[in-house]
Amino acid sequence: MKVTKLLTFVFLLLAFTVPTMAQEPARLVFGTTDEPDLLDIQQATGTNFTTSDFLTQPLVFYSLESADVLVPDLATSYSFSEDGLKLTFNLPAGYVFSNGDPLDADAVRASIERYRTTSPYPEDWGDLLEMNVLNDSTTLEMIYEAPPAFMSPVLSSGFGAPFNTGVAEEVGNEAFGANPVASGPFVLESWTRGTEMRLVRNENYRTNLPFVNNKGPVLIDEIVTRFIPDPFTLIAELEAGNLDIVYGVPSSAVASLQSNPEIEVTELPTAGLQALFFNTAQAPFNDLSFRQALAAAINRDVLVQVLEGTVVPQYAFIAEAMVSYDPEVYAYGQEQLAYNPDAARQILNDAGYVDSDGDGIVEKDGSAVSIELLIATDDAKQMAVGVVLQAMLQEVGIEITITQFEQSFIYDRLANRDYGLAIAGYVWWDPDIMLYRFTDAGSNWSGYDNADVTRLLNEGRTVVDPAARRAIYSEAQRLLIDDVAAIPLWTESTYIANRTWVDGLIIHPITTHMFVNDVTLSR
Amino acid sequence: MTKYLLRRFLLSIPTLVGVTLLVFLILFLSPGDPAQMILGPRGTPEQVEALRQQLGLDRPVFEQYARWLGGVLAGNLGQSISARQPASTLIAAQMPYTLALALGAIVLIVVFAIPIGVFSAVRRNSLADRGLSAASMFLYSLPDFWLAIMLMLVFAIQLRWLPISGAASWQAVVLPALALGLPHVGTVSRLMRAEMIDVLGEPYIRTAYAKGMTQFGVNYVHALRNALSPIIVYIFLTIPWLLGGAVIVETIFAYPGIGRLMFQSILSRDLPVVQGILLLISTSTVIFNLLGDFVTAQLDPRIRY
Repeated sequence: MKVTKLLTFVFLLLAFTVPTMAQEPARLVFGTTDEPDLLDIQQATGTNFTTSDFLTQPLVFYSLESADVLVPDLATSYSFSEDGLKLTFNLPAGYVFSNGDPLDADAVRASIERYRTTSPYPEDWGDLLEMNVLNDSTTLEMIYEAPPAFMSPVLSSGFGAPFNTGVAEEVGNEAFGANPVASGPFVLESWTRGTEMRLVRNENYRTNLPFVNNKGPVLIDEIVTRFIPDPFTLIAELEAGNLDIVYGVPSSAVASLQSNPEIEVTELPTAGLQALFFNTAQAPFNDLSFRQALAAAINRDVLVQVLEGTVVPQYAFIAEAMVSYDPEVYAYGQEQLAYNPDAARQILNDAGYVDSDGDGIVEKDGSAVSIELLIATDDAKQMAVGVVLQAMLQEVGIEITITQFEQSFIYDRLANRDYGLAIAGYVWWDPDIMLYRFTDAGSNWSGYDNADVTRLLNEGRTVVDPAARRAIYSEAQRLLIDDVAAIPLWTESTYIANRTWVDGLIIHPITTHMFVNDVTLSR
Repeated sequence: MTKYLLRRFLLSIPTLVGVTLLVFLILFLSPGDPAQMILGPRGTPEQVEALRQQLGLDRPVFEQYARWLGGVLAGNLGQSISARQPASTLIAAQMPYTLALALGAIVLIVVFAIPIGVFSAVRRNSLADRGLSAASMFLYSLPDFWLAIMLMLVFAIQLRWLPISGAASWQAVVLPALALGLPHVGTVSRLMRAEMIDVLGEPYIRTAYAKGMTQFGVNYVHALRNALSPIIVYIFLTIPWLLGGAVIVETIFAYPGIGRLMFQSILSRDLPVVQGILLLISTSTVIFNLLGDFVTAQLDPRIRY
C-alpha cells in the first residue's frame, strides 16, 4: 500500500513538473544599442535593420564565400538572361507569409510595386520596365531597361524581401510600420518601445539557404531583443549572462570580452570605409598637388593604433567585404597614398605653399591656408582621431581647426558642400555606392567631376559578369586614387559577442547578418 | 481658492503657447535640415526635397507652428516623423514608466529627506546632525551618471539583488529611482533642516513649550507643519523635472521614459514628438505649481488667495 502511495506521489510529481519544464520556451536574448523607428523597411529611412532582419526573408542572399555569388533563400533559384535585361526568380510552390497568406510571384510583384511607391528610395529597384508572373505564379520575370547588376544589396537584404501588401492595405501604413507581415524566421509578438521587442517563431518559415542545415522553422521558440543604449550597461548584461548575443559591441569593450572564456567575439570588417572627404570646388582642395600632399601626410598605422586595432587601414575605395574588391587596386593605393611627410612638404613647396614667416605653417601667395575639419561628436572614432590628424597635418605645415557637430548635421553640410574637410564614408555591399559619392547622380560630397570616372561608374552598374565588372571598378578606383578624390582612411569592424552556450549561430562574414536557423541553447 | 486656481490656470495658457513657440523656433533655427537628417547619407537632393514637401518643412516656420497649434487644439499632437506613429501614442506609451520612476523618486524624497531634515534640525550641531549634513551634501554633489553606475555596480552586478537594466519587473524601477531621487534627498533634507531651524526659533514654539506640550508634539505638530510649505512647493516643482529630465538615468538603466524619448526625438529632429513632450512638461509644471499652492494653503491657514 505504501509503495502504491509512493508511486502515485512520484507519478503526480512528474505529471506536474515535467510539462512545466517542457513549457519553458527556448528564448534567445539579444542586445543592441539601437532601436529601430519602425519595422516596415519599405517605409523606413533609418539604417538600423538588425531586428527587422529577423522578420524578413530576402529572395536570395550572398554566399558565405564571396559577395560576387548569390545563393537562394526564399527563391528556389534565380537567373539573369544572356543580355542581363531579364531577371527571373523561381519561387517554392505553396509557400506562405507568416500569417498564412499565399506568398507567390503575384505577392512578390505586389511587394516590389509597394516598395517603389512607398519607400523614399524607389530607385533601389533600378530601371524596371515590367514584371511578369508565370508558371502558376511560381515564377517572376523582371524586365529591365538596363541590366541591374548593382542590385545585390537590395535583393539579399530586407530591402528586397517580400512584405504582405494585402495586410498593409488593410491595416494602413501606420499600423503596418510597427508590425509588418513578412516571411522571415520570426513574427513580432510585442514591442515595448524603449525596452524590448519579443519575436516568436514563424511556423510557416522555410528557406533554401545552402549554408544552414535546418531549412524549416527555427529551433528556438523566441527572440527577445533588448534595446540598451548605454554600452557599459549592454556589456554588463552580457557578462552577467542576461544577454545571449550582443550586436555592435563597442570597440572599447572588445579586449575584456575576448579574455572571458564564456564569451565568443566575432570581428567582421564592414563593407565600406571611412575617408577624408574635401570640397574640391573650394581652394586649396581644388589643387591636386595640395590633395596629394594631404594624402602623403597621413599615417594610417598611427590612426589604427589610436583606434586600438579596431579598424584596418584602407587605401582603396572598395573594401574587402564589397562586391568587386580588387587586392591589386588596394596595393596600388598603398603605393600612391603612402605616408611620406618629406614628399608632402616637397609637393607643397613645389606648388607654392611655403612657410614665409617661419611659424611652421605654410601660406599660399602670402595668405594663410585656413582649413576646418568637421568631427562628429557621436562617432567615438572620429573624436579619437581628430586631434591626431590635426597633428599629422601640422607636421607638414598644414594648419587645421576642428569643429564638432552631430554626424547627421555633418551629412547635411556634406550634401550642401558647405565644408572644407570631413571624415565620412559609406557602407554598402555594392560598389555602385561610388556613383552616389563621386558623381552628381547622388550627394557628390567632394564635388568631384571626372568624365571617365562617371562613365565607368555608370557602366559598372550594368555589367552582370563579375570579372568584367571588377575590371571596370578597378579602373575607376585607380582614377579616383590618382585624382585623390578623397583619402580612404580605414575600414571599421563590427563586433558581435555571444555566450558560448549559443550553439549553431552563423554570422554572415559579408553582411554581419545573424542566421539563427540552427541555433540551440545549452545553458 | 477655486477661483484663484482657475484664474492662474487660464493665465498660464499664454505661457504654454510661448514655451512651445520658443522651442519650435529654437529647433527650427538649430543647424541641420530634418529631411536630410532623416534620409542620412543615402538621400539624394531630390529625395530630400520630396521629403521636405511631404513633411511640410518647406512651408514658412510660423505656418508650420500654426498648423501644429491648430492640431493640438483639435486634440492631435501630430505624426512622429521617424516612427510614423501619432506623437500622442508614442508619448502615452512611455508615460506609465516615467510616472513609476517619478513616483519612486518622490516616495524616496518624502520618506527619507523630511525625517532626516527634521532630525538634524532638532539635534542641531550634534554629531548625528553633522554626519547627516555631510551625507546630504555628498548626495547633493553626486553627478547622476556616476551615482547610477555605482548603484548598478554594487546592487545589480556585485550583489545581484536587483536587475541591471530594463523595465521587465517592479524591481527594475528601484535603481533608477534611487539614482534619480537620492540627490534630491540631499537637497530636500538640507532645505527641511533650515526651515525647521527657522520655525523652532519662533516665539509660538516657546509658547507651546510653556503650555506644557511635549518636545515630540512641538516638533511634529507645530514646527513641522509650518516648515513644510516651501518643501511641498519644491517637491511639486520637482515632479515636472522628473518627468522629462531623467534622460541620463533612463539611458544608463535602459529604462524607457519620456526623457529618453525626448532626447532621441531632439537628435532626429522629430519636431511633433519634441513639441508634444514639451507641452506635457510645461502643462504639468503649471498644474503642479498650482497644486503646490493649494496644498500649502491647506497646511497653513494664514495663506489666503
